[in-house]
Amino acid sequence: MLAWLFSIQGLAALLTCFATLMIFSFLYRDNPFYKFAEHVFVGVASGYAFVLVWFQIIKPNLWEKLLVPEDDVRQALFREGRIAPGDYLTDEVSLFERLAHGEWVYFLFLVLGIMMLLKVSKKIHWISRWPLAYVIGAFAGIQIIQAAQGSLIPQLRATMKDFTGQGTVLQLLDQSGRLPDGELESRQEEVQRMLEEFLGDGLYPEQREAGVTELRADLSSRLMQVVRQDLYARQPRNALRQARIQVEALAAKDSAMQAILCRHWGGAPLEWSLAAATFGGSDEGALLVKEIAASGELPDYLERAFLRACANHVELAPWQDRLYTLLNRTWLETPETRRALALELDELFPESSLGSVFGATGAASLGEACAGALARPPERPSLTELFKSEAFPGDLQPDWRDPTTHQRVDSLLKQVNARPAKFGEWSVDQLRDLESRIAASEGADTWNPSLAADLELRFASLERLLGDQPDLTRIQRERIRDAAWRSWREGFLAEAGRLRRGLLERGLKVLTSVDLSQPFSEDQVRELRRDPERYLGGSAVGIGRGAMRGRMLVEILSNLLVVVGVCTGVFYFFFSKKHTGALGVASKVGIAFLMMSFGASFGYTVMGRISLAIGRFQDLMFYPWMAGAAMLILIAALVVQARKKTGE
Amino acid sequence: MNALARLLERFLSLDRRWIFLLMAVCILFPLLKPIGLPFSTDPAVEDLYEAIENLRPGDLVLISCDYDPGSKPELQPFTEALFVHLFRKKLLVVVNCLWPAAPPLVNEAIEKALTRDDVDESFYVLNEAYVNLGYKDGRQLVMLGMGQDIHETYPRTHDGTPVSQVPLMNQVRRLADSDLFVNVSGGSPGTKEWVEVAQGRFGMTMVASCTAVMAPDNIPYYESGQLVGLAGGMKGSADYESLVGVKGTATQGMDAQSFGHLLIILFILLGNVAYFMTRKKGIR
Repeated sequence: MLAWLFSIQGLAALLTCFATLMIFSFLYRDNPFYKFAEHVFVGVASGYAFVLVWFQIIKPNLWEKLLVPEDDVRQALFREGRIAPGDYLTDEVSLFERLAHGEWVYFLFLVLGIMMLLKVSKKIHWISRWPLAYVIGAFAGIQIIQAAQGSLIPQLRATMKDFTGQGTVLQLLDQSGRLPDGELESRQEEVQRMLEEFLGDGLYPEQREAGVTELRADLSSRLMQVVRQDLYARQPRNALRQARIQVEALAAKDSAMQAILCRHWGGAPLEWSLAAATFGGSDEGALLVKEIAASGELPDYLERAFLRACANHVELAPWQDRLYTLLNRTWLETPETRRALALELDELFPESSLGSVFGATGAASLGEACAGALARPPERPSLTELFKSEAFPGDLQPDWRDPTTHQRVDSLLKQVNARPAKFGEWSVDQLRDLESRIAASEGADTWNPSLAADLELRFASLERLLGDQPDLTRIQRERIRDAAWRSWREGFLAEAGRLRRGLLERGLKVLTSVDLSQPFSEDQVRELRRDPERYLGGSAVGIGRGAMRGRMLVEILSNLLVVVGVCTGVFYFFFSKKHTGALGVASKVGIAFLMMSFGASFGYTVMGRISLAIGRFQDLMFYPWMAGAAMLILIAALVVQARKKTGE
Repeated sequence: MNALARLLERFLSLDRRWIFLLMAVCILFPLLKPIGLPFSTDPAVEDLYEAIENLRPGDLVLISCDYDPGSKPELQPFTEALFVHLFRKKLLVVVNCLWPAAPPLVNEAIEKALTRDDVDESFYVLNEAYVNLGYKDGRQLVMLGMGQDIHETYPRTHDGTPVSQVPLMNQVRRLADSDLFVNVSGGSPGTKEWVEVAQGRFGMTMVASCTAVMAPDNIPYYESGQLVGLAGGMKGSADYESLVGVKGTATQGMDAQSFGHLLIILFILLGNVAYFMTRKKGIR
């Protein structure tokens, strides 16, 4: 402890605690300890600022422009051929040479700087106005463009709102679509039917109903999010992008769907039930199982669910690695190992629902569920071999350390992509092009178009390929791996997710009539403008006429408030006429608005100041004992000092 | 009633040091005994989070950390959570600073983020996956320079490496090359200047975190869409921490913040009641 106290860290902590508390002591009253800390702070800050200004500003921007550093001069002389290679490091550089290589225009700025300092002189202080005028002029020039381009125009544009609130309605309708009265119910029924089909017969009616209700609620809330983003459209382009992302998230990632199904599928550990729900109960599901089994790779959402299951369920945790291996790859090697491992799984977890995971496909066990569907695609050459055979026909072992090898690769990629590309900078598209080209060379019929199978082999090939490239940086390698992974799994995932995505997309469309990629036509917009309320009743997002009227009213009131606030605020600052009568009333309203806005700003200020106090306390609590001791010592010192003062 | 009036009168003449002491207690108590009061996230912070969440691995994020230890309680938690968020998504990061005291704070946040289990430390090698360009004086001129050529504006990184020798910098030549621009601002130059000088002119998608004092000035930029997301003050940082899933000092400070606000509200109410009652009675 004592050793730590006298270490650099200990002394720094001691200083931190004492200095902070000394500054805080001013809240009690002005005292010598506060003054000491204040003076130390000002002194240190000044010293720091001076060093900073010298090394960061004056030295690099002025001094070294006039008096060039010796090394730079040597380099310049070397380039000019005035220093022999052997003398490069040892040759003396004269002051004259350093000055001669300087940029003399900077002398002007040095003079301007010195002129600025003449402000201290009583006689010739006026000279300092010249450089000051230069600085102010330059700064004003920058500020004018900055204010107009960055603030005035965008802010003016943002205030040009539709005053009537109709714009809000139109925006909402643009996103929510138009539905005649009563059609929403029928669409909801259709979604329910689709969901029931999807969920199969494995659910109790209550579970099914709850699942459908939640899905509907979830769809609506997601849609509302989309609509809200556009309603408060700060950046329409971005809102549309966000909307598309939302839909994509709903359709592809589908985490909400997973959660709903997890919650309402009884019996099994939830995440396993997810698998059952995902794959079970339909021919399409069985097909999906086959495809996943054939690929030897779990889809990433299922992998996440699996890992979550292992984290959440104690009974699975010890078996996580083994289970993962089983699920992922090992058990797909041969029908025998598949069956054996599936049986092992069933033995390991007799009480669990592993059997039921794929049980809905009609299989008695995990292995059986996939049996018969695991035929590997026909053996074919690895990517490396294909690539090399195309790039280097007849030479399957090129020397990758030979620069010409890289040139040949680059040249091949140029041909493949019809644009310049370096080997280490493959994009997904380039990879895809390369794949398709190789596929074409081998014959499309024998090539698996989904690129799903044999991922392991592909990665091994890729690693070998990368291993032969000593010049690639680590980042480039990561990027290539990432690009390859994305490219290869994309086909498979697209296929695997097609069914569920299709369902959800249809569900979303049926439920809400949202087609974000298709904005309303001009005719439709005209029609909406003519009678917007006609379309409100059937709004899929559950906003009826009343709610929409309320929304319009709020929008109109909000706009009115802004207009009134701005106008009356301006009236308050109109001093050419006495504030009586109507102008007096207006200026009083204006000052009320101003007070409200200042109050709001002040609220933020208070929040900021409290945050700073919290930060200081958090710093002190980092060394609680030392802070406590420092506080006691400081209080005692303050008491002694106060008594001494009173005694005097 | 007279007794009440006298009490209120005494309240009005209360020594301000009692208020300081009460405030200190209100802040210190929740820090020592956290209560975990709930708080909801601000839509502006959610938008900021979404803007980063929508990026793909390998996208490039440019960050300007423009603050100093004076704003550390409010902004450092945000910076720390930001790096965790970016590193988790395997985004490439370039940081610069327009405030001289900022680079050490940036390094501290980066080092802290890299120690986390959910961050692939091996991926984040200095100057390959992230770069700290360090401090540059010149305020708006630096912004303009970066909009045209970052390599010229910052010839060397914070650790002295020539920018031309940094592999990551080959991907970013000017501000517009970034997929997202994040500004962490403690004053001027900060968010206001970045928006006015660079955002529109160089067409950047920009989000910002600023101190609470600056938040009212920056909200209009968020409302107009010039900022895609905004986190204001310690509350904004706490919101962002909760979205990222990092329990940092901002989240820990939220109880203290709430208690401090409650105390101030209480004093404002009491002060007004006392003032009006004593005025009515003609005591004062």
